[in-house]
Amino acid sequence: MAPLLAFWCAALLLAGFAFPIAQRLFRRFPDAGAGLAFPLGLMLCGYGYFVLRSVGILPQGQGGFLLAFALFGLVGLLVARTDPRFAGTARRSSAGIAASAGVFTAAFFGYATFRSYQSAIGGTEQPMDLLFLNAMLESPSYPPEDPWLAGSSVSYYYFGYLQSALLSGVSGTEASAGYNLGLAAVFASTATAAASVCAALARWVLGHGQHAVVAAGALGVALVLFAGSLIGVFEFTAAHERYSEPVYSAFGVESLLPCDQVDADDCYAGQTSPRTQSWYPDEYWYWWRASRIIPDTITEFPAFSFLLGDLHPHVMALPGVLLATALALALWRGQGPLGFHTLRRKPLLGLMLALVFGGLAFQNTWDVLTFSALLGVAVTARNARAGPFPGAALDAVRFLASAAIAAVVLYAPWWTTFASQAGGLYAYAGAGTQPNHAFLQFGALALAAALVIPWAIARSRSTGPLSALVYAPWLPLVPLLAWAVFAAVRGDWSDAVTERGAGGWATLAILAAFIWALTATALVLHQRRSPGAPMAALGAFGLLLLYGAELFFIRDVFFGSIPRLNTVFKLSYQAWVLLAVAGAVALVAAAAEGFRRQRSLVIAAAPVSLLVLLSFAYVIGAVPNRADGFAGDSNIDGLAQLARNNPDEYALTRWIANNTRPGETIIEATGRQWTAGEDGPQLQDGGVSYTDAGRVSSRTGRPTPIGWDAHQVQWRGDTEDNRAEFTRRQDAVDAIYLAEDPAEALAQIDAFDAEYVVLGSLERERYPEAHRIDFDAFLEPVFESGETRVYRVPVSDEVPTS
Amino acid sequence: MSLSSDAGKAGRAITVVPLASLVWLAVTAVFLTLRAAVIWEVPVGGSEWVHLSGAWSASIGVDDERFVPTLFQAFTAVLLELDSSEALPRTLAFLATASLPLAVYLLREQIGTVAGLLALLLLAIDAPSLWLGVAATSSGFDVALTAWLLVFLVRPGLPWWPWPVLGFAVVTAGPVPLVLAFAAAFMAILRGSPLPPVPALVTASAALIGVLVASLGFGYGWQGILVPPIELFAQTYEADWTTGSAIHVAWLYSWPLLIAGAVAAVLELRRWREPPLEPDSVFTVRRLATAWFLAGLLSFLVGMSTNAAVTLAAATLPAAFIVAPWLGRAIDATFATRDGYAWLGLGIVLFLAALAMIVIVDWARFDRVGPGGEVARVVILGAATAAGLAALAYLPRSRAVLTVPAVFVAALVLVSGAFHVAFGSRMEPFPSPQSPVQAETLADLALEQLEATEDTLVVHESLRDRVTWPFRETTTLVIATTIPQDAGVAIVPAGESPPDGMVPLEGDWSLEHHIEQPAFELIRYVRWFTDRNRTDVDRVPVEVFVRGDE
Repeated sequence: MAPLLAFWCAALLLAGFAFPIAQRLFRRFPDAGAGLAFPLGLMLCGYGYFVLRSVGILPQGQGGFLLAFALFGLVGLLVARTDPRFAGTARRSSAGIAASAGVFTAAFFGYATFRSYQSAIGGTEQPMDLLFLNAMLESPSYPPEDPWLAGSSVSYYYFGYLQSALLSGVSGTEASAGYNLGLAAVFASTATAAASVCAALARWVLGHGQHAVVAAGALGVALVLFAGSLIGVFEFTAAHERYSEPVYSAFGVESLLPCDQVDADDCYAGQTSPRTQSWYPDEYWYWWRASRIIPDTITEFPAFSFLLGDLHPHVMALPGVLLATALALALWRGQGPLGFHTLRRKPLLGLMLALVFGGLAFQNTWDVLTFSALLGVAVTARNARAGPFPGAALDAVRFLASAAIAAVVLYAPWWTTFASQAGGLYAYAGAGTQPNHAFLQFGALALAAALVIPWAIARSRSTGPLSALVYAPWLPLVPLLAWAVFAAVRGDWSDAVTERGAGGWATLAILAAFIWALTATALVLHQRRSPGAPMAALGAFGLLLLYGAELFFIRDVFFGSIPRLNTVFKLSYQAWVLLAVAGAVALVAAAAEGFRRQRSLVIAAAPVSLLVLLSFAYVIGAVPNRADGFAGDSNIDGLAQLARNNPDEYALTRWIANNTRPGETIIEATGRQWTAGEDGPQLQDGGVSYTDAGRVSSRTGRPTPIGWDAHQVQWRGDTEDNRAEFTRRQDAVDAIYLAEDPAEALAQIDAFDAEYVVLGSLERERYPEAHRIDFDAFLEPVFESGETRVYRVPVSDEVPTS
Repeated sequence: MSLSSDAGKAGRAITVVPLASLVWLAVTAVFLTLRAAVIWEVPVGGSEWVHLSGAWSASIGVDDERFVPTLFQAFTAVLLELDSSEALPRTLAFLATASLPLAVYLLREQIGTVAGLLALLLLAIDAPSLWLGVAATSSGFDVALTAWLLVFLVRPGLPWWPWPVLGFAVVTAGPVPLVLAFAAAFMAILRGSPLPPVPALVTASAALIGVLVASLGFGYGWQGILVPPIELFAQTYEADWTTGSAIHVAWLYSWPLLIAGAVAAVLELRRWREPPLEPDSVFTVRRLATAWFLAGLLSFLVGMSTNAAVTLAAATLPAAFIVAPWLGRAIDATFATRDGYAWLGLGIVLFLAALAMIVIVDWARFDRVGPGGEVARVVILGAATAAGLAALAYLPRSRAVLTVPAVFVAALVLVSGAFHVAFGSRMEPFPSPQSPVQAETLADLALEQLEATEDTLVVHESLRDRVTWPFRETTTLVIATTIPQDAGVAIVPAGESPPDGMVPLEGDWSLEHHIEQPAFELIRYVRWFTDRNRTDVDRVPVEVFVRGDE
């Protein structure tokens, strides 16, 4: 309980420090930006810590985190004292501020409770996440060292880990608990940020109707965090054996039907009757399927992410993404053109833009392009309100370019150690997404967002300037033309046209139609100076991302096998947030307008509301499934299960954490499987990713020569040099365990400048005893628990005493 | 207040000695005497052991991460080149800390004479700051510097020139002044009264020079970019400088001051929004001291489970300044209480408490809780005492008399703690761990063994940090994990078997003593309090092997 409370206190304090800055940026928001102060505080304080550590002023450890925290508190106080409107704004928005704190608290403790029933850090890529969190906490120097590649800096977008580490460090929480509490803080920050953005949009759109503002905030939280794929409904019906082959097939989920009822390769082969022992589907990890609906892609969404519990950059970036959206909306809503002169007059605004958007790149590089584009639209739209378009656009470019340059400069220590693996933009030449799958995944949110169209029509007697209808088609058409050109230039034209079947083209057409309609609505509303324009634009933007992922992909390490996996994954994740925000406000606006004046809007909103309600079926079933019915032990420490199931390994972890110093290199199994052979050990299996390889390093942050090699390829590039280096390290580490004489082993240990060698259950399993060297003969055993041992590498130094 | 001689009658000039001056002198004498004792009486231990080792390494040109180049640490290294004992650096720290009474004396205009005297008295008997002010840790100048920083921060009409000096001093000191500097920055922002641009610029430049000089190790070698107070502040959350946790040390020595500080801070905060009744400078010092205490308390609370007591001193120092004015008022109010029933009630309550304590002390003597009848008696007496105290506190006319038991208990704890720390029993849990005298004996013995041979003195790697100080000026050590063939003397952790050709040196050898602290239980605390010599000493044993036959 103590870590939970300490972590919560630290998060609330940080938000309190950031609030004076947040309220200067979001004064027009109902909560004066209090809900956005959580992500803003983490980003700004995290940045301060990062810079001060990188220049060597702050040392490693809790004290360094505390000092960064205290300094940030002074900055917050300074901003508050120099802002004559601070006290008035805070007083006026006290209800919103209290609501934000309440939402954060409820969401934090609620999610932490859920997570405590499934807190083990293991499986999927969670060891990697724990590794990065530990790297942020334990690295003796910054930019942080990569514990899975001793001697190298981390080459990844790791700002989210640093922010979680900040809260862990300040509250004195161990990384294994900080991991789960970090997730809870991200969940809660996402909730407050979503509520803040949706409530602000709703107030602008609907005026000061308190109930509608609260409803939009609540619905925003629900859609961002609790809505899921509509496959959740089918999972429920299938679990309770309600089968209808035509319906399931129509929605492309025939894989849920038992194999004896459907003629398909992919079908349900588990226990058939009863299929579940409970009111919810109890099939192990059934909810995973919702993230793999579209073949060869990942269609993750926030509810899935928080169920799974991977502390991944795209998850940790959720509050930051909402913060960036809020900044774009706040600028859109503001008065007067934005140009270079604005930055001279309001340097704090420029600095915050640079820190937030630069931080977004550092947090999840995929997000920065999308949300910078959204910012660009917002700034241009604002400038276009104040003057003719060419000048407005030019001013917007000057404004944004200055902020972008500042962002690159401010985050230079990270850029210099980061190697992007993006290998260029390619035209997608595949089957594309089937409409039924797209509907299952995004239908509820997209239709909710599209309610802005009937709302806009209902609000006006005329249809608005027809020019909007002429300009709007270019938005879906230009990417399509670009796709054709790209495909032709790359020589994929023929494949691109033929591979995409009728379903793929239909999806494209539907998306294009929605984008056209929403863009036209946004333009009409903008020309009428209606505050509903950003709402329509967010919907259009979200759908444009889905549309873009149907036409293009960014080349990465999956190019040869599943090329658009990451593009669909990352863009659809961003689209989910934008559609959820737009959908929540549009639904509330339509309902409010419908009940007030236009009954026809109620007719439009009712089926969409039903779909939205059905989208919660996913979470309702998946939460108890993931928590095993809340029947097991509850513990927020991610290594508690290890302590129970494998006390020796746990003791090893604690010993290494407590008795070695940050930066000391540990030799542990590479994870490659060796077998005994007559001519010496034989390599049987070289695959190490998603295994226990590098587990000591992951759990303690101590560097080891090589961890998951395939992930190193993802982070550092798939080059011959890289692969050769990773293999060399694996060979060298394996050679230590399989050496024929101590001198050979010691030479390899010295080459890595390693201090300790681990011989635990994994090493005994991966290196056959017949060939394993006897470390007792030449190393000093310093730890023993069961069959697990740690050896100290021999030391011999001459030290003068006078 | 004055004392005048009656000599006027005899026709001589009248000599007037203000009583206040005498009291100032007396309290200063107490302050200095307690600290002077530390120089010779207190064993090397805690962070002093770590930092003396670091300074020694620096003085002989060995890289050692225990050398954190504060100005004092640099002076220590220089002084160790002149004389290898801890006495000179301790004397230097003492001389610096001896200026503290003057600083408090100068503050009397802001906090009042009585409050100043009481603050000095509280500082004199505050065990953690007492030790920190004389021990040769990296923070040897911290206590004095913090007091002077406070004087300069609150004195009106100060010229600009002290600021750069203070800027330099703060960035080359330990973590204690950092807490005050933070509180001062907080208050300056809150009051909207930042340093004017020119002094700010000059101060920042001086601070940068300080960082540069510290990074250069004051001439002892490049340390990387280093801000010593930040480095040492961070180390307090990671280091093992005390056997018990900071909260444990507070429980033994400083809890009355911390509780009184918290109460005083609450009282100050309650009148925070009220317009100042005092002149601005007085107003400033009280608020600054409150902010300082809260910052110190926060850093202590966050790090209370860590094994370093520096954050405790960072909380007790300001506590003295905010408690003193309220204590003065409470004492005045106590003397002004004319309600006989209040005094009678207090007498009864104290009598009941004494009866309960007699039983508890008896339990403590035998280290066990007595039979049920005794427990019932103590519970009833305790409840009656609590009810009596509550009744006295409830009635405004009798409330002030509660000062008497509060001051009595606090004085008992603080004075006994200060005297025991100052006169340095080797059984006192602070400072601990200690470098035992036996370690130096062992060093002499080892030298004796090696005198006639070319053999080497080998120390196991795990004992590396423990031998730097006691083995200084002996011979080149070989720090190793396995004993080489040419070892003449080998010191290894207990339980190791002798290498070939070596035999154990008879005796119970130890390089480190931990003075066990009484557990967080009333009985244990009373037992320790009434007989401090009962403390267990945990001697971390080592084996000593010498070359020879069985």
